[in-house]
Amino acid sequence: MQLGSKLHVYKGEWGLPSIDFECLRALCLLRFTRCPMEIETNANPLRSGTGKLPYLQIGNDKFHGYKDIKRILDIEGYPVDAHLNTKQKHLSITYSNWVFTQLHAYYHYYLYGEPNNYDTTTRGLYAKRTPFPFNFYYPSTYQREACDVVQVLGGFDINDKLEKHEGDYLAANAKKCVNLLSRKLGRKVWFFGDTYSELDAIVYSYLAIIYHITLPNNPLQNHIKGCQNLVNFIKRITKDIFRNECYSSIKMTKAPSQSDTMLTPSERKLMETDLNTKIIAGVGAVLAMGAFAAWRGIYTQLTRSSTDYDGIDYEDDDIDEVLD
Amino acid sequence: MESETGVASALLQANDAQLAVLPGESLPWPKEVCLYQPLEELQLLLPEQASCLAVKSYLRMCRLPYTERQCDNAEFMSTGGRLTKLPLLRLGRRLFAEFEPIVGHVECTQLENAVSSWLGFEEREDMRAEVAYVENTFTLAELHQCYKESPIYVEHTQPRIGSAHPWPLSSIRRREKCAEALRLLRVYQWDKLNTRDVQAQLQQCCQLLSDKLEARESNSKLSANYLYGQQPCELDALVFGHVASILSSQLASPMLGDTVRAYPRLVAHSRGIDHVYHQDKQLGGLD
Repeated sequence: MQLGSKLHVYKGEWGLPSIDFECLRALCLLRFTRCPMEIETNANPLRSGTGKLPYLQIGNDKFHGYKDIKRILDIEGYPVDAHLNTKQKHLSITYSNWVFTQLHAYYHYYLYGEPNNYDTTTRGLYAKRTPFPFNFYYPSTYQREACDVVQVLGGFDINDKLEKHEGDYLAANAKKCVNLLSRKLGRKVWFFGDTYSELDAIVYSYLAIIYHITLPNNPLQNHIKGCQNLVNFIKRITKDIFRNECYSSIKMTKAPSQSDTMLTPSERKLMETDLNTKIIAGVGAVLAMGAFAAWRGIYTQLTRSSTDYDGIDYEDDDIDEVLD
Repeated sequence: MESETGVASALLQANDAQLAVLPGESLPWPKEVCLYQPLEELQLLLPEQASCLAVKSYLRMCRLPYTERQCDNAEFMSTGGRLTKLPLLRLGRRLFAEFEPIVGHVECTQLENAVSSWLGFEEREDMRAEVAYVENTFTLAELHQCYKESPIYVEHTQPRIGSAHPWPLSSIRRREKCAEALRLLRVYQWDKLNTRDVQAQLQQCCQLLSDKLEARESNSKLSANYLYGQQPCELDALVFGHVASILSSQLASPMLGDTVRAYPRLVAHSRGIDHVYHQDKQLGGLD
């Protein structure tokens, strides 16, 4: 792995490492395989060639999207299905595809398609993580994408009236999928026993966001809460594997080591440089005033007055002594 | 009578097993059963042909009678679906489109005839996931080749889309269908793949099926007839539909055919099904 490789993703929320499903999937691939790569959370989505996150930068090359990133990691020697046998690999591929067809439409509809959810929660999340002035229009690109997804996988159009949206059908399918996943996971640590797989990555990416996000209308959230083994699965991966990348803008009750959870490292750096600037400004002001004073000749006056005082020769005094 | 939107949602939920039938009950097969598809010689595209052949094979495996009708407007009559939206099956007054909803309906209403009733619960779940994966991969690969590979598009796809309509309707229809296919590829995240990547995906799928057949072979010590043992199931019908269509089509770019031919077990499996259920009509003329 080349030095300086970086994965650019959206910053997280609610204790998760990222708010976006695709970014979370890519992060899972990286962290499960313990690939030594840096993660940049202050990413600018418009700097990636395609305008979407996540993207991976290795040297001068950029790789966009989950499929490309997975291909690169496989080539570099960090395949996510390395420890599975053939049958498990097949099941991982099959079920990952199946989970995609069941949950993708639900995720896109309830996060971006449902007008109430989108306006109150999702838009703000993405806008905060996009620089000005793009934050006004950029989140709506996700809504346009969701329109396509829901049309193809769900069979209705988001731009129709709310009564014609078939969100219940998507929710029912998603609930059946969650039931099956809960049954498949059972009491195991990973879906295939002792080792991670792509299925774990995709299931965590969908369910963690749907479980944690605070949306006005999210029927699957309570359903997931009812499946205790899936909740434990999500919490375990968040706490153990994404210990360093978790972020929450709300102060947690357990006080962290820094006094301020509100500042990210880059904001803290800005404050330090601010202080340096103030010191430099003060020194510059003093030098300017000194130069002005020298120009006005105050220094020469001061030195003249002191030598004059020392070198005064009272000639009258000497003459008086001689005469007496 | 159901309203339009009601029909659409009911049909999308056709693969929901609890629709209108109590579990354990079986509905009689209607007398009027019709399978609609576009004209095979002039209009049918490769992914649609594969889907239609898969459904026909499945109905033959279940020994359920049906009549075939080829008409221009089959795709407009279709009620919708995730991929090709064809074929359309009319059972009395109900309509079902695409392979998975049709199979789902047959499974929950024809309990004696449904071919996978002999599988265990977990095996059936695995098989359903495999059906979804195989259908997705093959259909998307075929769509990608038909619409993004220019020699195939010019020779095969373009004339077939516009053949039913006069100009200028044919041009408009062509543009619409292209946009729809590209949107489908974009949603499934296949639009940025090139031919080599598509081939890799297809090879992965064929390898999975070939490994399954090999595992059956070593288990039973006989040549494996079907993917889940000695009896056929819907996965066999689906695989046959796609493999036979690819082998019997003559496309300008041979990538699909070459990829599938590299797995002799799959070809042998399809020949077996062709022999038993189609009297060698589909693959009979090929080596």
